Amino acid sequence: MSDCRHVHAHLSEWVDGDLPEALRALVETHVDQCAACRGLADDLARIRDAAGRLGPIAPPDHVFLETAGQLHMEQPPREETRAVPSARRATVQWVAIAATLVLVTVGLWTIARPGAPGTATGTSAAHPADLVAAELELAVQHYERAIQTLESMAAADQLPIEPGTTVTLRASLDAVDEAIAESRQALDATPDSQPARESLFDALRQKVGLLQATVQLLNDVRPDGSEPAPAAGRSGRSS
Amino acid sequence: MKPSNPVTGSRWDADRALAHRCQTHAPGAFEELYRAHAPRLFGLLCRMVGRGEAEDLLQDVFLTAHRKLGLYRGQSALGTWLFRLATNVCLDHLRSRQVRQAGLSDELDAEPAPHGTSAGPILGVLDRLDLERALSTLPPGCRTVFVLHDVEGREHREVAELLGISDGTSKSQLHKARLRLREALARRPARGEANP
Repeated sequence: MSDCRHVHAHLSEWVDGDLPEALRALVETHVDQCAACRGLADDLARIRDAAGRLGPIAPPDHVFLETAGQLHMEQPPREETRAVPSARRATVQWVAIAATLVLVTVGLWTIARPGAPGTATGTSAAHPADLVAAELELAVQHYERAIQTLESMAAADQLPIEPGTTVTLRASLDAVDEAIAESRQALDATPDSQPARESLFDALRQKVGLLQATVQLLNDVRPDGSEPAPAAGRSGRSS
Repeated sequence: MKPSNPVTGSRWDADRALAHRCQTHAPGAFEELYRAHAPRLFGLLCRMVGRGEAEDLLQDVFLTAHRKLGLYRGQSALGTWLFRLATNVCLDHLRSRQVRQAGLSDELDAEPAPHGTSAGPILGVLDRLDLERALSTLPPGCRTVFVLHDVEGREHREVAELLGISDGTSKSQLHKARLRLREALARRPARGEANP
């Protein structure tokens, strides 16, 4: 087997040690004598070895939140109401908030699409414009309830986040609130404007995202409803 | 059958216990499952379909896993069970994408492999980011085989079984993927080297 092209076809199997003995000997003899094929085989082995060293990739935090929220919504209601240990209470509240935020996100996405049909309000016979307005109102109500819950926890000093982080979060929320207010004004001026509607939804989505990040941050510093961790880093529960 | 190895048996007992806690909605159980396995599965999904779609698929994997945990009998590690589930979710996604885009084909990457001498050698250190970037440019067929075999360490027999192809096709697709990667990696100067 002196033809390089014939050898090339078997080089991956050769570097993996997958060739039958007779063929392996032929390829080996050729590679010993041919610098080009030897170089190619070396590269194939380097690629294989480098691929084997590619490690896990940490998913963004919001993926867990959204998954947990979806799961929470899928779970059947508990058969009995048990007293929730106080150490768990905060975690349960955060999961509920996460689920609400996912609902809102899904709702916003649904009604942000041009011509999206409405189903949540049960007013399928209504005019599409009225339907969108009703959907918007419903989504905003969900959203505002989630914010109120967060704010009441903050007022009760239950946010186990460092003061500096809280200030940053509040500044970000204020900036997003300004964007929401501006978008609302634009939508009031031109109610049928698709760009104005999308701008409002973008701003609302930003705020939902920010709140989701906040919830994740809270989960990170107090994963089991235990005492707040000294810093807002990951709790190291991954294994 | 209960594993005879006490270490392995203990780990699988823990896996079964975790699966049971997830099924009964025990507080913190799902998060424990997610934190333990999500990074590895997300790596697999990112390399198979790209990061954007991988986020959605990761959610699908864990939601499906949660629904199907009742089927987990502890006959393999929970990580192995989840890996298989993730692979199937991913392959279903790729098949439906193929159907949407150009019709489903039973063949993998049908394009001829680049000639081994069409690219120069890979110069310098083979950087992880360069490899990830080059990997993302591969056609889905040979990329899937490469990820399962070279990244995830599956044997050709397992890859063939997962993809419903022959061992020989798995080998030829792997070779094609490596040649394409070499071509892509040889084009770019190695990190830290000045451009001529």
